[in-house]
Amino acid sequence: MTGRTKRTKVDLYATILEVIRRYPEGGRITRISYGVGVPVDRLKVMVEALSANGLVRKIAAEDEEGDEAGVYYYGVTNRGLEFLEIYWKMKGFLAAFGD
Amino acid sequence: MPDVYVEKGSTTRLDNVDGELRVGRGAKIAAKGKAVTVAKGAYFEGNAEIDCDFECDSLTVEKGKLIVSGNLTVHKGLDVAHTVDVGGTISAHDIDVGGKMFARSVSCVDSVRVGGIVEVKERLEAVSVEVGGKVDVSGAVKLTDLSVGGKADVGGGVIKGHTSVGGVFSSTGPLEFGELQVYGRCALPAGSKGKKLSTFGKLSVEGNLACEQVDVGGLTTVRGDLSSSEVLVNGKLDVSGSLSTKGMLEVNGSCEVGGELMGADLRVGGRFKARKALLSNQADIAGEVDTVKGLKGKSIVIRTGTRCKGPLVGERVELGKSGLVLANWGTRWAGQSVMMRGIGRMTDAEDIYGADVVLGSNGRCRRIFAERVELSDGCAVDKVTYTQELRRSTGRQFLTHPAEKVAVLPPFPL
Repeated sequence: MTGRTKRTKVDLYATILEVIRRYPEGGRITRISYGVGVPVDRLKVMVEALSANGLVRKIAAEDEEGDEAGVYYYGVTNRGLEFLEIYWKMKGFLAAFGD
Repeated sequence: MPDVYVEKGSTTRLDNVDGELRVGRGAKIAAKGKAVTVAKGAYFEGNAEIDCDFECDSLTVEKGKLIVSGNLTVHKGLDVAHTVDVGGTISAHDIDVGGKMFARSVSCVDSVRVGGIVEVKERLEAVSVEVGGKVDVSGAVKLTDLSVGGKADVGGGVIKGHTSVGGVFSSTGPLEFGELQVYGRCALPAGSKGKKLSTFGKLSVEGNLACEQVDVGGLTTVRGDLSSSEVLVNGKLDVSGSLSTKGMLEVNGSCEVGGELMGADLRVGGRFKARKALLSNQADIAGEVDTVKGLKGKSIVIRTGTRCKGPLVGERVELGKSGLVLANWGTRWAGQSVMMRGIGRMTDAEDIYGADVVLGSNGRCRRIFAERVELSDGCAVDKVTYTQELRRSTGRQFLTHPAEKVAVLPPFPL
């Protein structure tokens, strides 16, 4: 998270997914922002990209009358979990090669 | 004192609050006595500081950072949207932190969920800990499950259940674990023990390791002895001491043991090297085996195309007889790969000692000392010494010296 080396875009996507998966009922953008350590405006763009590729599920919160409350929660899809698994495996192989 | 509201930016001294406590942004709370106790929930609207021990039923920090200089006790849930920094111990039923959590020690009845980072200077006790990014515990941990998105450093302790680490895991003190799964790098100290260990990358152990099941996908170095029930090596395993297994050691990659291997079964599809190997059951070799003092087993099967250094000792030793039928692992990738490599190659060995020795075609060895010997077409032997029977096929065998029948065989090594 606070590593000395600059995180690549893929590292950031993986961190976002790792943080989101901690919230099984869906995490709000501010919480994800604190967890990832990225400002909300920049995070929104990345979460939208993940959502567009089917790695993140966007859930609209409803108010008491059942209408959209304008608040969104984010959850990880199976494809997102698959991405994470492959990401960490690749990281492992690269670590074994000394990268 | 019923419900209490602490104004934004103010500093207030409190004692016991019978109802709820609501605290405005930037407020500071100190105790009239030793601690502040809130009977119901405590709500913090933003950044806040508590300069004493604090106890409440539930705690919510809607935004910002909560700093507690003393101990923080929450009977139900601790919910911090951003950051919590506690100088003492956090005791709670369950903890949910949006971003970061810092504490001297943490004791949680149920689960700890942290979006980003956890740093604990002393002990961490919980049923499950889930961290999005990084966890750093200087002292010992006592957990059932640990799941870390990126990096975890602990000072030893016990993790009874499942530990899953996305990237890097290290323990500075001896760790007792249930199932440890590391996708990247893992470093354990001497004296660690566990039930199951699987790594896809690099594992280094700075001394002895005891683990019931070891599954190595990448590089693994044990600077001591390794004892296990089952070991599967698909990558590279280096053990500087001895390796003991109750069941199977399967090497599809490379395994080097500085001392001796003691176990029941050995299956090599890659490369195996040890000072000596003592097996109570079978060795099934289809690759390269190098033992300085020798390899001893009840039954030794050396598949076609295999190269063996060091003497082989067994009740029944079969060399280069069965190359294309790779026992029960011919359907697997490693077995098929070995089969392809073995086709058309000579099978090399040094001295062979046994009750029954069978040399297949294209099998080549130095000396054979056995009760019964069977030689197939095309095999080559320096010398055969036997006590009961020598069976030779109708074709040609290449013997440098004539076979010798003796009353008593010389003592076997190992």
